Amino acid sequence: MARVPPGIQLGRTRVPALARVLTGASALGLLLAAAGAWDLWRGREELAILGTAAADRQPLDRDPASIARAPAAADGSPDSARSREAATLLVAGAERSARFGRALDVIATAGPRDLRVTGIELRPGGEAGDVEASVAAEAPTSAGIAEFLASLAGMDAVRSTGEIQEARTSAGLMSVRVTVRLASEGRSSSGRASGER
Amino acid sequence: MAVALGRRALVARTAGGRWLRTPFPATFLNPSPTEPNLAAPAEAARFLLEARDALATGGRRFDRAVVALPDRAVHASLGTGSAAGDLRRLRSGLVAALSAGSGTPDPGLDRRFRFGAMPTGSRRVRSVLGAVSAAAVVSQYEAAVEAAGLRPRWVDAMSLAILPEWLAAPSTAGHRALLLMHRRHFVLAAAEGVRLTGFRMRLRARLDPKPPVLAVRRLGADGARRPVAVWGEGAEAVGEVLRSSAFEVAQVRPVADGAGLSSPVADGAGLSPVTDAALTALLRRVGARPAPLAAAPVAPAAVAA
Repeated sequence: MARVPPGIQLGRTRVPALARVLTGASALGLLLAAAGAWDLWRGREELAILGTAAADRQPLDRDPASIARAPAAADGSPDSARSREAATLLVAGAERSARFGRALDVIATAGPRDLRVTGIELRPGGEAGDVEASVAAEAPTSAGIAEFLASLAGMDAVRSTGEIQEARTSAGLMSVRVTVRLASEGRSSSGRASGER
Repeated sequence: MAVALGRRALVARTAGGRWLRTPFPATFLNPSPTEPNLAAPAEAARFLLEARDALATGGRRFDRAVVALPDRAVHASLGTGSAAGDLRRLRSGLVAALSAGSGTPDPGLDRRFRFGAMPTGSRRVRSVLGAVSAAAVVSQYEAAVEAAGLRPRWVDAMSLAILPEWLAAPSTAGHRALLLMHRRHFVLAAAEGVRLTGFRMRLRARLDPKPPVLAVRRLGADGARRPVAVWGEGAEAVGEVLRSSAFEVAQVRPVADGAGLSSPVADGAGLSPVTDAALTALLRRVGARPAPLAAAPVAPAAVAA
């Protein structure tokens, strides 16, 4: 089909309003994609920190950077499930690394030397800015566990603690799972509740 | 609104049919595709501003304009094919032709020229009319228009602006030709259906009918019988010669009645049908529906006000 063109345009090329809007929308889309990619990258780092492969194999008094570099479990184990849960939280934007990092710091500093934290789950707490952690730990004696829990309960940042499970492992170690609720940074000094052990 | 800048005058018209013609001083505008055309751009802006004010209706002034440049402010040529490579070759050829005449050095030359192209025809058989002008030339006109508070929406050369509508006009003739006559040059276009098959822009001495008649004869050398439409200055004389040479003259639109006007305008010069057709085509090109020209131009008193 023959087509007659509009004609010769020697003027400056002017971008129509619709094209300008589309260009702007494309640029915005690219920016959002970049932001999303950055969030995913950050989430990947969080997973590396939270991955139980790191927590299981390395005591918390090790170099935190080396823990951060450890890969997250990718199989169908409970550790992998925890990673997926954390990933879900991260992708949903529920948490930021600063809060997780602070929670990990609190737990790491509370543990006595002979206690080994074998797993940590982190999730948003009941109030905005709070973090709730489930900690699995092993110690040679129940005294070590008790000391750990007491240390946690005595910290300003910790709102409450609660024991979920206590058992002795086949290796003769005491194993415990506790929940720790950490107040957000702004309320840590005034909003602390007493321990609930 | 639409404005046409020529060697002798500025013609402005609105879609509503109001129009005016402002004569330029001698040597005020010297058309060239390579050298700045306006001797006094600020003065040109003043003329445009006055036209804009005079054509304003109901306190509403125009803020956009389509602009018809003088034909001789561009260099145009017909090429074949409209693929990117064909257009690049056409552009380079036009630029090279201009730069050879002006002695401009070659590197980065294309960027210093504005290029426009008009592909015509079907998918199978295409030809493309390309036009170039130095960026400085077009910018000078654009700056004058902008200085008058008007944003240029479309800039084309006067005769070239007519061609798309002429090509699209229904015609029973397979081959046809259009001769657009100006005082010092003429443009001859030939078409087969909606495809442009020939294009010439040539100088002529003041209203001399021989060069355009000769160009039409050369066009007929291919044996195709094509009716010729003749518009513009000296159209009657050229039409007469063509008829006497056994050419079929389909239409003659001289200046006197070219724009449907009842009388010549104030300075004794008529409004060429070529000018009116160009302005009308440019207005349509940006979506306007131009009404026929009013019988009389806007009064000079309105310009002074």
